[in-house]
Amino acid sequence: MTSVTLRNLQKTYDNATEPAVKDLNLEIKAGELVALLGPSGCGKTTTLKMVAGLHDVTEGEVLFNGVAVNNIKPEKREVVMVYQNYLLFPYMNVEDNIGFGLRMRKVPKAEIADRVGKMLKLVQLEGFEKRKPSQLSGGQKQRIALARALIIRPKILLLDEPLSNLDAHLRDEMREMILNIHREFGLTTIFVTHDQEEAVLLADRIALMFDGVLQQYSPPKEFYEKPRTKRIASFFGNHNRLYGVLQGTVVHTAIGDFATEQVGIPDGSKVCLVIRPQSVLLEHSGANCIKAVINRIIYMGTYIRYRITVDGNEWDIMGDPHPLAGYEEGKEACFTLPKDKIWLIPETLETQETPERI
Amino acid sequence: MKKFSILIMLAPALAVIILLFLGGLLLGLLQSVNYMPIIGLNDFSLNAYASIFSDSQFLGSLALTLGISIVTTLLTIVFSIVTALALRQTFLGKRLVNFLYQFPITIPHLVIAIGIMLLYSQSGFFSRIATNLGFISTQSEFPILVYDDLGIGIVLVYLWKQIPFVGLIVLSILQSSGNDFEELAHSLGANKWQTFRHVLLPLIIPGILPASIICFAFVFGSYEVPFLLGKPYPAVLSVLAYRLYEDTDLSARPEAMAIAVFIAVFVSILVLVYKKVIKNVSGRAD
Amino acid sequence: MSEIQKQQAPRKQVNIIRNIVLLGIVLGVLLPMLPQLIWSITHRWYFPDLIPSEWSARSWEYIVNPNTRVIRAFLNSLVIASAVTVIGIVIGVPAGKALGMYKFKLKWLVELIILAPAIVPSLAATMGIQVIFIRIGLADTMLGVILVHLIPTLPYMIVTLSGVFANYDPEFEEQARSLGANRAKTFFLITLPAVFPGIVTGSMFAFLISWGQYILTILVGGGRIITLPILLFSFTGSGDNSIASALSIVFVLPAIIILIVTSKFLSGKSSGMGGFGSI
Ligand SMILES: Nc1ncnc2c1ncn2[C@@H]1O[C@H](COP(=O)(O)OP(=O)(O)O)[C@@H](O)[C@H]1O
Ligand SMILES: [Mg+2]
Repeated sequence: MTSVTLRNLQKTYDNATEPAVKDLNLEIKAGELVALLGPSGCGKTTTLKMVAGLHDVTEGEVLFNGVAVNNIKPEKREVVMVYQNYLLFPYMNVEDNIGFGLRMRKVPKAEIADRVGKMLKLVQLEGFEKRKPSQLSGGQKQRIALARALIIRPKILLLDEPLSNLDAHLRDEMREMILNIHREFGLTTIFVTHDQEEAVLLADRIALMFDGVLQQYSPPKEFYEKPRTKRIASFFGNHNRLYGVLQGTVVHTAIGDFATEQVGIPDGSKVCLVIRPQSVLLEHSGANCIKAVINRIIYMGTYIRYRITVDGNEWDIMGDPHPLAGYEEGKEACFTLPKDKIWLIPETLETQETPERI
Repeated sequence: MKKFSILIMLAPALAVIILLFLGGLLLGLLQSVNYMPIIGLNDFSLNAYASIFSDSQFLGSLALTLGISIVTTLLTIVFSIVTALALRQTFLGKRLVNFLYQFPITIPHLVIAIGIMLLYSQSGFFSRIATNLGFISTQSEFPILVYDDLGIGIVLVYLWKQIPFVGLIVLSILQSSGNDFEELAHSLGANKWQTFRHVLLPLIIPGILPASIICFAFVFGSYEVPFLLGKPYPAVLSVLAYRLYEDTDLSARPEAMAIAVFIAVFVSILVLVYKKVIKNVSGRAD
Repeated sequence: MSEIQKQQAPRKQVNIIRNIVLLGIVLGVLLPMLPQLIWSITHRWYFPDLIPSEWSARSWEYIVNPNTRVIRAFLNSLVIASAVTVIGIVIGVPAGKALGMYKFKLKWLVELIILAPAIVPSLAATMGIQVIFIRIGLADTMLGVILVHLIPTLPYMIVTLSGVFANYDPEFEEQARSLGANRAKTFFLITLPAVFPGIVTGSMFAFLISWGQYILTILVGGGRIITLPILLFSFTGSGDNSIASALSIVFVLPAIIILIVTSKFLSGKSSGMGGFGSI
């Protein structure tokens, strides 16, 4: 079992002006399943390739179990990467593709055949030995690529967008397979995705990157409940916002005061109060209450969406799928913001680049 | 309607090639067997073929032509890969070198044949340098590289022309997928040599085989360079054929035709065999 | 530290090898083109002098002198190669479109026929057809030479164009029409720009193949149609290195111009260089 540490990692490509990855610090525990999340072009693949040793680092260090591996060649790192577009060698059949890494290590033929068979069983593609890559579907190619990586018993598994080229139903299947394999092998695994839902479903922890900079590294839940910046909050979906100033445990806003449990923000800070649509309660409980006219009510099947305007900001609120007395279009109603669901983002942090460790 | 319009689109091209090329081949074949009534050849015979195949001059020419073609093609493959691998990396002045590399594609063979002659012949530039440096004392001591038995000068000209042609194809193969496959192989534990041997080479070779066959066929049948840089005896097949064709003794004509037809048939068979092999190797997969 | 050095050593070695190869490319390409530059302005250059003993503009004077055959040969070459290129475009564009965009019965046979002259040397066909050319009066004429030059050039033209048309999506035309472009506008604004790089590449091939042709010209032209290669051959044969060199510089000029004009098309995706993978 191997832990991975990235220390001040930086990558500037030849003939590029801006670094693709900037001063990245990341700690991945042995056996952890971590997602590198972020919009396309933010430096996720670049990071993976530096871990694999396929791209030289411009600055900083990659450490495995605390030992720097910067100067270890990729073929000696025992880290394998599974590419987004599978990259099955087109001139080799399935068996030869999976056995490739073992042949490179000069493993005896009989053993290769044996291990290839086991791998095919693991990825549920027995009987496909002699097929050419051109005769496989996308999902099958993905599984072969995974088998080809796992057969060399790597210390660390890197998956670049493993699900993004698959249809929706194959995606569920593949996700299941990745989880199972991760459990079975206990492999330290880093996977890349641009889909936050996918990251949330699979990862123990998510490292979110924008423009080559790590934004937040924490378990999935915290991205919803404790986003570090407004941009992170938006990346993870709908958030309602309200601006104010923090004084003690109370946020003073143009439409009233709201109590919060959050600590650690200096008194007098300008803050953005965020709350998720499903956290707002449709009730009048006295404290932390907003009175607003309901602009629209939209029946969404499993819930009802109420749209209100709060201090100039559009808010969405999710309520039970049953109409509620007093909550009607065009009428004023009360909404409560539970103080443990309120999250405050200091207005200054938005421009700051290095995240706090969580 | 659609069928008809496709036919119309193809008709001029087909007409030119069928009439001039296939028609010409057929006429050549007929003249080689001495049968073409409209010009007064009525006695069908295979004498021309019998005589060329028993002629040691023809056999010598055949050996020389084959040798030059095979050596040129193999060296072209090797050097196109070597140069493309070097050009793929980033280095200072890459644009300039790339431009130079494309140069030979458009330069006519003749010009380079003359250049090679002026450089490598016994009175050429390198011979002068060797003399001035005191390595040799007379020009006849300089190794015979042009007008030589082995056709070295001829091979040099073809290499100059063909390496970039095939090399550019190698480069495009490497650019389209080579990098990723190479990285993947490293990540799976292959070292540099293994990556080249098991990943890059299998990607490159099928891609350049067609071009290599074209090169082989071209060298096998072309006239200009060996005429300028080759020895008169043995000459390559095309030179021999043209010499017989121009012979004042008209009875040599059928033999000239027979040799020309032989060149065409030999190349055709080669290409057909290649196609067959490719089909068998790649199977139904592709 | 020693680990680091161990890792870096092979890289240095690779760089040295690479630099040797690059130097080889530069010298290899340039060297055979240099002697002509010197020889063309040389009067006498005795062995083993490294520098000519007498310089002169004799060969250049010979070349621009209207009383010699050079200008005539240059014009002949130009007319023939241009005619071959234009005819090649006219014949090649529809054929390339048919092969690149449509499926039809016996397509493999059509492809085989069209590709054949690119692979099978044209010597036999030209020698064979010469009897007919003599009969119908095409021997020793420009037209006859242009016709035989079409044999080796058409396949390159058509293969290049069919590659371009294979990547061409006719729905662009439909889209343009539906957005209000008329037929002519659609052709000039949509179709032509899309296939233009292919036409340029194909024309380049056609022009240069014809321009460099010796044996087919001498067979059909019978020594009466003088082109640059024919002059070049005769001067090389006569051992006049100075004039041969000057001529070869003149001979190479169009190639260099063409390369400079088209090199940006050569490396482009739609150039159709890839079409040659299909033999
Ligand atoms: N080999 C390369 N050379 C130069 N720039 C690159 C290279 N690979 C990626 N980049 C650039 O680096 C940035 C990050 O790319 P990448 O890591 O592939 O992003 P992601 O995988 O998150 O989509 C992008 O701006 C991309 O254009
Ligand atoms: Mg990526």
